[in-house]
Amino acid sequence: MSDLLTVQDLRKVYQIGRKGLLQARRAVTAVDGVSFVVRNGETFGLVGESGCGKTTTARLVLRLVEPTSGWIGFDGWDLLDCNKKEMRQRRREMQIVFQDPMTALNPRMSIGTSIADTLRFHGIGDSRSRVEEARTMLEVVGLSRSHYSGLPHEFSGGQCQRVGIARALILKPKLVLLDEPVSSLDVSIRAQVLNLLRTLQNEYGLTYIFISHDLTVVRKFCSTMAVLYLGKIVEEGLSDAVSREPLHPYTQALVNSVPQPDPRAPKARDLVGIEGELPSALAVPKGCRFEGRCPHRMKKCAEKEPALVDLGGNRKVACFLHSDAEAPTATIS
Amino acid sequence: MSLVAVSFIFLVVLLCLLAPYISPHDPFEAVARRNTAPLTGNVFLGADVDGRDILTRLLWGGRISLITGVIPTVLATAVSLLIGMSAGYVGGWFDQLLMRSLDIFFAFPLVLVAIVVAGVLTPGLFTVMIAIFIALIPYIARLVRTTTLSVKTQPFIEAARASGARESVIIFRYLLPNTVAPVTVYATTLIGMMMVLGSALSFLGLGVQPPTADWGLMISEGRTVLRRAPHATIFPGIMIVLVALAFGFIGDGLRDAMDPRLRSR
Amino acid sequence: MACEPNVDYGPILRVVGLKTYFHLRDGTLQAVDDVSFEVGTGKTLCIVGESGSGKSVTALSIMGLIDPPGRIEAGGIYHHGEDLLELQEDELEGRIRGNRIGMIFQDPMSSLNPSFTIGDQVAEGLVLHRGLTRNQARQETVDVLRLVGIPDAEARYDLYPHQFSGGMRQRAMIAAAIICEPDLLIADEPTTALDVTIQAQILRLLAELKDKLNSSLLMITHDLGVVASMADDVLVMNAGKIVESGTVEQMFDSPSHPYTQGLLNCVIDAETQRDGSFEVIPGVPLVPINPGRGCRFKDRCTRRFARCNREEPVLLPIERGHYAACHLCDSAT
Repeated sequence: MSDLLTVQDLRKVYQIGRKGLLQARRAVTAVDGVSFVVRNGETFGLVGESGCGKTTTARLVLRLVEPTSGWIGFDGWDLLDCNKKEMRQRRREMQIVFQDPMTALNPRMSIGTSIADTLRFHGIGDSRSRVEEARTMLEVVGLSRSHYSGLPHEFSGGQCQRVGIARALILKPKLVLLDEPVSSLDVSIRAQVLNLLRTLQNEYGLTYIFISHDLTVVRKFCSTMAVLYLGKIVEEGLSDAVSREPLHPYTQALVNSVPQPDPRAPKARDLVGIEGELPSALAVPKGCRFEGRCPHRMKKCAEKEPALVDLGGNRKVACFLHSDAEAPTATIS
Repeated sequence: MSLVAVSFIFLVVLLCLLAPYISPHDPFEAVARRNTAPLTGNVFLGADVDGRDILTRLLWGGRISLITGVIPTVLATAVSLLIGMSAGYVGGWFDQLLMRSLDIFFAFPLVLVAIVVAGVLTPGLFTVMIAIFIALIPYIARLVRTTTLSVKTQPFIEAARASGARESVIIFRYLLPNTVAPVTVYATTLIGMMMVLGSALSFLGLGVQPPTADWGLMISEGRTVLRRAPHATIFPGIMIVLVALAFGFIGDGLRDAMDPRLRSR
Repeated sequence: MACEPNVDYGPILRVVGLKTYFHLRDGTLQAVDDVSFEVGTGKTLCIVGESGSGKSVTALSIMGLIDPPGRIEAGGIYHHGEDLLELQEDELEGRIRGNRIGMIFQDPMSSLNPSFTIGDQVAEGLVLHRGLTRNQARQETVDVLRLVGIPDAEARYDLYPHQFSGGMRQRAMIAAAIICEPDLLIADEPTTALDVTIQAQILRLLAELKDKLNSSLLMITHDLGVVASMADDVLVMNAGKIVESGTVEQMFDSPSHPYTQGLLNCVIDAETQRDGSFEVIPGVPLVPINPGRGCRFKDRCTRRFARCNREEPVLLPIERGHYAACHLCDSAT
């Protein structure tokens, strides 16, 4: 498989207000040197808890948010080198489906118009052919042609998410970013939408980046996954292998924290989770970012930051338990 | 309720428009004895301090009062949309500059601003409209800006951008309709208030001048004979209150009608 | 009724024939329609369902928090044999709510008042129900904050909600709920807004507290993993009706209602399905506004037959303590 998207050392630093007049402005590094490769036709999972930078990463890749530094290669283009016009061209090939299907649609615009507008933005077809194509797209995602003139609030969350998918796919993009596309949906609807996404992927030969906090879904839906913690990838590999045999203590904690739908699995009071909470992004620990919560921490962990090391077999992990390599000291401008 | 209000306003507007044809007398001519009580002789609602027919003057005065309420509000809304949306959308120092300058107006009550403007210019209908127009802008612009700020962060704006929409398309097709709706509602409720304000300016002698008929002016003139001829004050007062209320109800109705969630297919 | 009174324990809460309707413009929403169940002393009962199933409205009804256009039309809610529906609002507020029955909501940010300190809000119960002054209540409150795992409780007493993380806010909410040592805790989706590692911590805390306080727990959730790890008994709700009830083992080992079976299939472990598709329940959850005749699940059911259109199934026993409302389980058919 060829590479479709290559992200190298992507970094986003937000400057936030100063605390006192004399103090320097404070910086929050939301994404701190993230690199990954997405191959044609695969589903790449980005997993992590809130504040880990997975959503920011998605927006950086689409340049909805400008990266502070890094390099993004997409289908032979240097994305960060594209001017406004070129970027709009690239957007035909990379689309996004949002987490909250309701608010991602203009409340005053019919769902059909929302879908057809995507064609309009790129000057494709005339208004009649756009309406026709949007109606066809509604059928493709499992709604009916007559839904065209309905307003978003008349539909359920699951139906709105189908509209969101139709809007993303009408341009026949190569890459689709799915930002928690099912986490606001009911369990039974979730499966319907995931199956739809899977079917469409096979039909149109799509490549997905699937952003989620739900390891169970990622394990089944994605071929490869990367686990993010505080803006850094801590582990990466084939999703089945990573979730079956997590190597990084954080990934292990994630896997073990999910209560299993089985009354004979460990009960809540015996769940092997981790203590503590995500440290503030304003005060990122000096050494390993997970050191404060890690059950296996060593003396070294508080001082040095482990590098993301390739262990072979597509597996990478950033932990001194598995490799002694240190991360180059990051320089924040 | 809002339907009743709309019909009422429609009726008032119609009657005022037809004033030259349907009013029983000439608005400037004395047709009865001074302060004639209602339902006497040829004056249905009585006569004012100069013996002019109150019903006739109500019909003619409504034209002025409605104009002072509607036109400046509509214009101020249009200008405010421009100011508020550009401030909210562009943000940064541009936003600060625009909004802080408008904030200066908040230091003075709306009426005071209008009085100052009216005082600088020569009294008259045009002056009243300019005064109200200027006094209203900070209020509406501020609402436009906050609305713009909240709509701007809605995911559907980002969705449009991600789909490849140009900034101009985002502003006019996605941002504007979602900003205009709540602002229109607000502006409608203001129309009634502005009629009262216009009348107040006339009452203070800063607006239209006698002998022009205007509801505020009629109250002003009637005030001198409030004890002997209360009807000269009461009828224009009732009209101002009713019309102002009606615009308030229309605003409420508009809010419901413009909320896509309350609109059924 | 749903659960027969068991000889081992008497029920602390008995809900009988509860009907909570919402009178809307489009018709009457039968949010909770003839629901009966018991929470045994020292037991955890989980109510499971999708959005609109009536699970949250059931909890709100018990707490007396139904506002117009909602109305409790019929039924009884017996707490230690006392019918809560007979009580006046001030009595409910003064004697029961927050005192004998503690409540924990989904979103701790919106349930905490942003302009009061955490400590003052947690101490509220002691002030209201035991007539202590805030100063008298302070030490006890700090102890409870410590009990729910808030580090440095003495100092954090004086902080405001926005200075707490999501997990810490939920711990504070729990502290406020348990401060009067209630014998029944009602938790409505207490971990839905939290990350998995924090969810595991909170679930463990709830399970431990329940034992420590010797109280019972009524938990509303949509997550079957949470159910399996917390519940002794389970109620499954769909469109305002209980479709199945029983012990957690009965529910997971031998689900009898097609809806329960469907829900379980939707979340079953990734291991068991290899073709990559997800099990679904077709269609969308029914909103019970003027529901027609027959079973409320029939439109989504793959096994419906003529009788399902005609007749609404009632809860019937399948085995000891295990009930289902489905014509398939009715031995008479």
